[in-house]
Amino acid sequence: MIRRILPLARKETLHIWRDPRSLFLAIGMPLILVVIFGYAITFDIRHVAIGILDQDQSSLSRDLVSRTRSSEYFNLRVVLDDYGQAEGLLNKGRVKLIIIIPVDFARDIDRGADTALQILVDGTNNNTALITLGYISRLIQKFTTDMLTESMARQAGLQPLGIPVVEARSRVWYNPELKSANFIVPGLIAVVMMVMTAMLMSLTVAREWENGTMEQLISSPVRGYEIIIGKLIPYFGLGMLQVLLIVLAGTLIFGVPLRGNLFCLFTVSAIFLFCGLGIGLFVSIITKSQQLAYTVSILTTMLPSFILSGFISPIASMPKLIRLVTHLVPARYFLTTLRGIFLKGYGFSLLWPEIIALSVFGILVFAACLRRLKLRLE
Amino acid sequence: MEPLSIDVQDLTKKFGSFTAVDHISFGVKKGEIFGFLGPNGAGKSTTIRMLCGILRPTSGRGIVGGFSIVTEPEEIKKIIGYMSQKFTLYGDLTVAENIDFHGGIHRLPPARLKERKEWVLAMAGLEGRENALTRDLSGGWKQRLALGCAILHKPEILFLDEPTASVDPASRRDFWGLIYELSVQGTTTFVTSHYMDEVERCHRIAIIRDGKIIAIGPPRELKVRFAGRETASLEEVFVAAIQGARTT
Repeated sequence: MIRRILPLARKETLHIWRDPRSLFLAIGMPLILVVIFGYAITFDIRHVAIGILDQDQSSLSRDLVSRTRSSEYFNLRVVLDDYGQAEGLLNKGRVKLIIIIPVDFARDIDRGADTALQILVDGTNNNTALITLGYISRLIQKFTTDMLTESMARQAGLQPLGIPVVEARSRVWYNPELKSANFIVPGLIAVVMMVMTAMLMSLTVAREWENGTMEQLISSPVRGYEIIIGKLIPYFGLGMLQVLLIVLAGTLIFGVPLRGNLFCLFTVSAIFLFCGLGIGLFVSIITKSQQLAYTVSILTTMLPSFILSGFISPIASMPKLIRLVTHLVPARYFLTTLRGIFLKGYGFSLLWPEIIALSVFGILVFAACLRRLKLRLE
Repeated sequence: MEPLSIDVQDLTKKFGSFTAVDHISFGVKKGEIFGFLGPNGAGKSTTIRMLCGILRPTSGRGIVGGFSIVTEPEEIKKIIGYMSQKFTLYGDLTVAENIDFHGGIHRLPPARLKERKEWVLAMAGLEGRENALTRDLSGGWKQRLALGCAILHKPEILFLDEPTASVDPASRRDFWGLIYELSVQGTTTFVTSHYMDEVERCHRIAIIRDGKIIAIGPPRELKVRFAGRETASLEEVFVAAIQGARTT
């Protein structure tokens, strides 16, 4: 059987080699996508532009203002003169958040009464808003604790240091700097590889039907599996080259740590590639037209890989029905694997369930391809 | 009597409610050049595709080289050469690469491939142009290269669908010279055309219209039968046959 597969693979390699467009799509495009997305998608929030209206002008309130000024999370851009300015500032986007210190702030605290700060936040981007609010409440909590410690100490006639305080000392594992590139780049590899391999592959059989060369091919003694394997070989090689380039880009450009072993990474990538190629091939066999194959392959891979893989939002927080659907998305398993290998240094012993899931998916897709590739006209 | 190369009984192909080929029966002897003449849409390509084993008939029986077109298409594919109406070589491959590819999928041993490749290049007049991209060749050369690829593995039976549709008269003459040569060597050729003067060169022809064979026989015999004289053109035969088919 190998004697007929080799000429098929050779022919397919020549098609790729002689078409600069597909070469660019295969090698340049994934890199460009990873770099663009890697820089563009970031959940890191620093230096949020804020405004403060200090209606109290007490030493206590000025302490609070100076704390926000020295925080690296905030960039105190505007000190408001009156409440009326607030709406305009948020509306124009000059600041994302405004802290309003009420007139009786210091007096209430001195009396031992509760008091409240008003926080106005721009919720247009809910994610940024939530994270910024988190920073603010931490800052205020710290402010309150410090104040409390001081006043208790004063009452007891002790030095402030003598009062016990429980502090939460957190250590972040796997991604100590909480850099979102560490989380995003491995996910991007999954999405980009899925889309690019399926798209490139989907054009191959469709192109042969369009050019009439398929009719010539099926009138020869070639078998269906020979056509499929012959077409897979060069695209598989191209795909592995993509993986290598993207991994290099991720570690060198974005400094993503690669803690697991490379052999495991490339083995899982190879299995995942088969899934992507299988989807592309299946689309190609069914559509028989390049235009349609292109559209269908992008739609069936891009959206699920982005939305249902856990790339953007965690699968655990999706509705139950959607969670079930995500089990059909190969990128889901690959994403888990990649994040595990890159950040946690996982190996085969921990990743076998994902590897099995991907293998089953790949086998099913190729079984479907073999069934649908008819060596007859209709 | 020698068994027929192609033996067809009541072969029918329907596409939905449209009958493309309607109960045709005929036989082709070994080494014979058999012409299938008819206007566009008469069912010529549909017939040739069924005989090549790439299109399943709706009903009827067909034996090609001793194998059934219904149950043994994979066996048929090993012994035939097929040149479809559309140009079906790979334009982005060179002349030599196209020949190598065809040799490869027919599993020609390297030595045999080398010998056949030289023969095809000489036949097509493409010596010295082995490394030209096929899409840059002119119509006649492409046609001869396509024929070369179809006969590279020395098939017993050759199916040619409108082989000279886009070829200049000189190339067409060369082309027929080659078909005669193959016929002498024992290759059976089944060729479709809608050029009257072309099928005149066939040993026997069938005139097909609306999926039915309305006349079959050697060109000279058909001329006498339909036009009353041997000197008549096949065009007259064709018109007379079609009128005859209408009145009956």
